[in-house]
This record gives sequence, structure tokens and C-alpha cells, in this order.
Amino acid sequence: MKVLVVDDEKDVQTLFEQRFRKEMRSGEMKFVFAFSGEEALKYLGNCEHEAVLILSDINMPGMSGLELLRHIKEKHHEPPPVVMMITAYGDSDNYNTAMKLGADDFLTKPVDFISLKEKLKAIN
Amino acid sequence: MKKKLLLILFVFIFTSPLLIAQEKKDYFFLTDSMLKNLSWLNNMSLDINGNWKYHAGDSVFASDIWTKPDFDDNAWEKTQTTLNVDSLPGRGWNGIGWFRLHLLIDSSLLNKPLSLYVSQPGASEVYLNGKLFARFGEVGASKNNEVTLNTLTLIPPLIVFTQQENILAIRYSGFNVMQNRPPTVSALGFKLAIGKPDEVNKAMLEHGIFFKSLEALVIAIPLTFALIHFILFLFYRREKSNLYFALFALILALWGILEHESVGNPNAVFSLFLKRLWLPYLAIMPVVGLRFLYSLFYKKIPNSFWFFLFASVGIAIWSWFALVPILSLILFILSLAEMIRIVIVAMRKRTSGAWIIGVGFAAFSISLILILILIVTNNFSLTLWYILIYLTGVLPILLSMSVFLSQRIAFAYKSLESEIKKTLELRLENARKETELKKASELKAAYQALEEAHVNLQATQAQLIHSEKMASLGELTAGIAHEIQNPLNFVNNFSEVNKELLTEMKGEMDKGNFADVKEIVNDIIANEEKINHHGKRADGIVKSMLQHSRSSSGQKEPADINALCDEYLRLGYHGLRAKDKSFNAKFETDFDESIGKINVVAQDIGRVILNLITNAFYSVNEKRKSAGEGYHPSVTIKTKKMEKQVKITVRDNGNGIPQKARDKIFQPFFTTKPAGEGTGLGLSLSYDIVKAHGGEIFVDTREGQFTEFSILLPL
Repeated sequence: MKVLVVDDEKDVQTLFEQRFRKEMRSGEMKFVFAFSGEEALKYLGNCEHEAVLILSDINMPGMSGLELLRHIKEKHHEPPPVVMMITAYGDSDNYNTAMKLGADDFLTKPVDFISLKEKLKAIN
Repeated sequence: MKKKLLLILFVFIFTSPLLIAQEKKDYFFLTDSMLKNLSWLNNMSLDINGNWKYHAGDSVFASDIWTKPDFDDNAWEKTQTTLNVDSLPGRGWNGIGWFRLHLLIDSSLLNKPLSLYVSQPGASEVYLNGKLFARFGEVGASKNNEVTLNTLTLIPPLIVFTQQENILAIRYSGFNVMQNRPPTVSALGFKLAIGKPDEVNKAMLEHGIFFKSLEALVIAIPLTFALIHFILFLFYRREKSNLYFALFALILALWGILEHESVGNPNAVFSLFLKRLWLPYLAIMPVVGLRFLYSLFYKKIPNSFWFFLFASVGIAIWSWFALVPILSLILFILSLAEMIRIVIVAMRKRTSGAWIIGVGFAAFSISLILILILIVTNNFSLTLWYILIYLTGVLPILLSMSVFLSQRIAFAYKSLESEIKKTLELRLENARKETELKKASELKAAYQALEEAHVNLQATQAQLIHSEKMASLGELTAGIAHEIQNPLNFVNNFSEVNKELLTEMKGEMDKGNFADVKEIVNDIIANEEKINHHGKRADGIVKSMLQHSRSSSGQKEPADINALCDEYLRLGYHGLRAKDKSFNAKFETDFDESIGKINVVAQDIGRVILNLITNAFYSVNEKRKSAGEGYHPSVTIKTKKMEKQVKITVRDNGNGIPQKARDKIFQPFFTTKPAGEGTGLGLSLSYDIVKAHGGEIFVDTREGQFTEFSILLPL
């Protein structure tokens, strides 16, 4: 399973790599990182069907996670990838918008990697 | 006066040798030569004063008998007609009597008109050869019946002798003068005077027409002066000089009156009485003049004046009774000398206007000298006397004195005028000062009000700056929360990972798989670095937040401008995000890494950067709301090291600044944001901060396209 992680914080990559070391080592999961919405779209444009799951931050400079979500849900992918939104602002506005745009899940920072792992394994 | 004075003066000199009457037998022989070279003192006529026969008393038939040529008067007493009181005829004098004279006329005088008159204090009838020739007054048998006549007031009648031998008979009465004889008068009788008509008439006319008109003037002019200066004195009594001058002018007018009346009054006795007044007058008159001059030129009356005053009063009284003029004359001359001395001293002291009076006295003195010369050379005449003594003598003195007083009054007016002017100017000055004072106090009040307002304003400004700070802090809070949240998440996550890794490492160590342990340790170390990094990051954010809310210390310290920009860019971005969920914008940084640290008050410059960034994000967000899909909000922050400066540029592709607002953006309280959203102090404070750093801040913008703020800070 290929997971696209979109976050403007670069250390997120390290974190995921550490957290999913076993999964990555076993080849069970594969992670791709994009540091902005635009970069994520570009990646998706190139490798359309590779990413099954997209984990996106909402607050990013330039294209926000929600816009990215809209783009993905409107234009891309058949079947559409699972998009989980992660945000530091777990407020109802963001949540409602994300859900309206078709987000599959809505996580708040700090990410509970144990439950995230379970969710990912469930999808897998 | 002239007559009296000069008679007194010169009677001795002029004791006339001409009067040697021809006393052949008992007649008087009148020749042509006797009527020549007569003195003006005697009105150019000859006194027939010898060889008279006298009969005391009157008779009913006298005019028919005693006047006739054939009447034998040998029984009559020989006498002088003047009837001096100390040499009266032996038959006595009871007030009326008859006088006869045998008059022989030289043939050359026959059938020629001659003037004949009787100079008298009484009344007379003149008979020629038995016929009444003329009456001078009305002869009376008592004081009451008698009407005296001063014949000087007449043009004398003309007599023509047709025969050589003539009888003149005169009936003369002098009751009035006898009974009320003024002490000045010693002669109770008369003088028969004969002269050539043209000369006598001329002399009489001088007495009459010329004299009367001129002398009236001589009275009127001093009286006018007296009146004017007396009125001046009445209106201003402190100027005593006016009073003394008025008195002096009055006493000079009295001179004219005395002279006029003593000669011109037809009442012979009265005129004789007046003549007596000359003696005291002469003593008193100059002292009045002295008093005037002292009042002009002396602050305090000198003692010499009292000497003159007592002397003049004493001499006046004494001379009235003693009938001796010499002391009056001496006093007159002394007083005159003193007057001239006073004037000369005043002139030497350069007393203002003293020369005017000096001129008057000079004219008087010259006139006196001229009179003396004329008398000595016997070229004198009454006309000359009047002209010299009045017109060029007394009048100049009076006039000069009046002019002097007028000048003094004018001077007083002038100084008064200048005083008034000064007073007015002073008053104006005072008014001006008062106005100025008023203005000053108003100004002071205004200044105080202003100062108060200023203090209030300063308080308000401090408050506003504080609220601006708080507002930006508010904007920051959310961003800060996010910015702290992220590192904290990392800290938490990495520490969790490390925990897992350590557990894992424990397992591997148990297995003795040290190669894996080593790998895990490396990971842990890397993660610890991450933890440390993000911990510091959070720490830095909290610190800068605290710094932002604290008031500025104003201390410049080396600061990393790039880090500052980056930090505030993020804070600003997340702050706006927190406020407006829909907000999103791309932001780019372009930092010149060669800048290094520069000396700034980091907190203040941070505020400026935050402000510019917030504005930029605000602007692009506004534009995003109205612009369509194709708009990509973008904010770029750029630093660049230049020769002596560092340039920080914040550029957005927002709405730009409208032309009309461009000039005002740095003004305090100017804001384009809706009410309540902006304090209007952001750019103003930024401007002040940059200026305080010796830097510059300027803006480049195009409406609807971009705004670019640039800050230049000196290295």
C-alpha cells in the first residue's frame, strides 16, 4: 500500500519513517512525501494510481489541504484514494468542510500513530 | 508826563535866558525876534510874564473901566501873573482879580495874526483895548460859579494888533485851584502866551489830534495786554507771571492815562491834580516791572526786590507830600538798571526766550539815548517824543514781554502736547502690552490645554500602541499555537518513537544483535536531535512571543534578520489562518544568507516585519475573496545585503494601495480596514521604528496588482 503524506513540516517524513519502520522494512507500506498541496497534486498527476491513501495536513502555505482534497475528489482517481485530513486545528469548521469535500477521515494533531496504524491496516 | 518829566529834568538847563523881558518903564515890547526859536516846552509860544499891574477883586463896572486904554493903572500893584503861593502880591489874592499890561508891538508884527492864549489853572477873560477878545473858561465870583479851562486843549484864538500901543486887560479867577490846590501846583495864577500861529497851532495839534490819537493807542495797547494776560492768569493762576505782566501793562496804561488826562483834560484843576501823581507813579511803576521780571527769571524772589519795594512805597508816599521828584527819579533809574541787569543775566544764562525781552529793552534804551541826543541838540519835538518814548521805547518792552510769555505758553503747550503724545503712546503701549499679556495668558491657557491634551494623547497613544501590540499578539496567538503545537507534536512523537526504539534495542541487545543495536542507537540519536531541535523551536517561539508583548527595551543587539523574517512570516501566516479558516496563501522566502547578524532592536524590527507580512496576507486574502479561480495569493519576503544596508522586501500580489491612500499610509490612525479591524497604527509605528534605526521604509504599489514594502536598515 502506498501512502502519500502531505505536510509542510519536513520532519514529518522522518517521523513517519521511524514510526512505520517495520511496515516499510517489511514492504507492507510504502510512503511518499509531499511538502505542499501543489507538490502532492504533481505527484498524483504523474503516478495516478499508486497512492491508495493520502494523509494531508490542512494548514499549508499555498494550496491548503482542503483545496488539495477538493482537487483530488473532483478530478482524480477512479477509484478515488482514501484521503485522511490531519490538522492542528481540530475545529468543527475544518472538520465540516473536510467532510463535505469527501474526506474519509479527520485526524487532529498530535497524531496518534497507534490508531493511525490500525486505521491504515484496516484499509490495507 | 513828557512835559512834567522833562521839565523836571531840564528846567534847570533850560532856564530860559530868552525870557529876559524888556522892562523899559511899565510896558512890554514885543518884537518879531522874540517869537523866534521858542521852545517846544512852551508850545512854541512866549510867556508874557512881566510888567503886569494887578487889582485884587472884581467890580461891577470893571469891564467898562479897567479894560480901557485911558484908564490910569498907576495905583495898581506891579506883579507876576503866575501868583506863586510863596510870593503873592502885597494886596493878597482872594481868588479873583484884574491884570493890566501895556503891550508895545513892533511894527513888523502889526496887522499879522498871532496866537494868544492864557495858560491857567482857572478861568479868564482877555480884553484888548477895552474890548473883550476871548474867554477861557468862565470867570466866576466863587468856586461854584467858576468854570476852569485847560487851554492846552484848544487851538488858540488869533489876535491881530493894528496899533503899536495896546492895553491888555485880563480878568482872572482861580477859586478852585486856590481852595483845592494840589501840592504839585505852586502857581495860582496864569501865563499869557503869544506865538506865531503856525508854530503854536502845530504844537497844540500835537497836543490835540496827534497826541489824542496816539495817546489813546498808548493807553489801549497796554490795557489790551493787561486784559489778555490777566485773563490768561485767571484761567491758569499758577502762572503768576501773567498777573505781574498784566499789572505792569496796566501801570504803563496808567502812564498814558495820566499823561493824556493831565494835559488833555479841559478841567485845568483836575489836570493839575493828575500831574502830582507823577511823583509816586515814577517811584512805583518800575518796581512793578521788576516784580514781573523776577517772576520770569527767578525761582525765588531775591531780597533786592524787597529793598526796591519798600523804597518805592516809601518814596512814593514821601514824594506825594514833599513834592520833590529827585528820589523818585533816582529810584526810577535804579529800577531800570536792575531790570536791564536781570535781562542781561538771563540772556547770559541762555534762559530760553530771554533775548526777546532783551530786544525790547535794547529798543527802549536806544530810544532814551536818542531822546537825550535830540534834547541836547534842541531838535526835539513832541512828535518825536511820542514816537521815541512809546512806539520805539515802551511798546517794544511790552511787546517783547508779551511775546516772551506767549512763547513760554507755546512752549508749555508744546511740551504738554509731547507729554500728551507720550501719555497716549504710553497708553497705547500699555494697551498693546495688556493685549499681549492677555494673548500670552490665552496662549498659556491654550498651551496648558494643549499640553494636557498632549499628555492625554500620549497616554492614549501608549494605550493604542499597547492595543496595537495586543492586536498583533492576537493575530499571532493562533499562529503561535500552531507553531508551538507542531514542534511539540514532533517532540512527543519522536520521544515516543525513541521509546519504541529503545524497547526494540533492548530486544536486539538480548539477542546480541549489536549491529542492529548500533543502527537503532543512531536512529535514537537522530531522533533526540529532532526532539531537541523542535523543543528549541517551541522555546524560541514562546520567547519571541513574550518579547513581542513586552515593551521594547530599545537595546540594539545583533540579530539574524533572516531568522527573524522567517519566524514572523510563519507566525503571521498561521495567525491569519487561525482567524480565517478559508485563508490560504503561498509564501516564499528569498533570503540572502550573507547578511549575518546586524544590530537592531529585534523585537521592534520583528514587529515591523510582522506588520508588513500581516498586511500582505490581509491584502491577498481580500483580493482572493473577490478574484476568481485563477488568482494565486502569494507573499514573498526577501532579504538582500547591499553595500551599506540590508534591504528587506515584503511583496504581495494583492489589491495594491489606491493612489489617494498612498500618502497617508504612514500616518497614525490611517487604515483601510473596516472599523474595528485595524488600529491604523501598524505602519505608523513601523515607520517610526525604521526611522529610529536610521533606516528607511518605502512602498511601491500598483493598484490591483501588487504592493511591495521595502525596508532599508543600515549595517
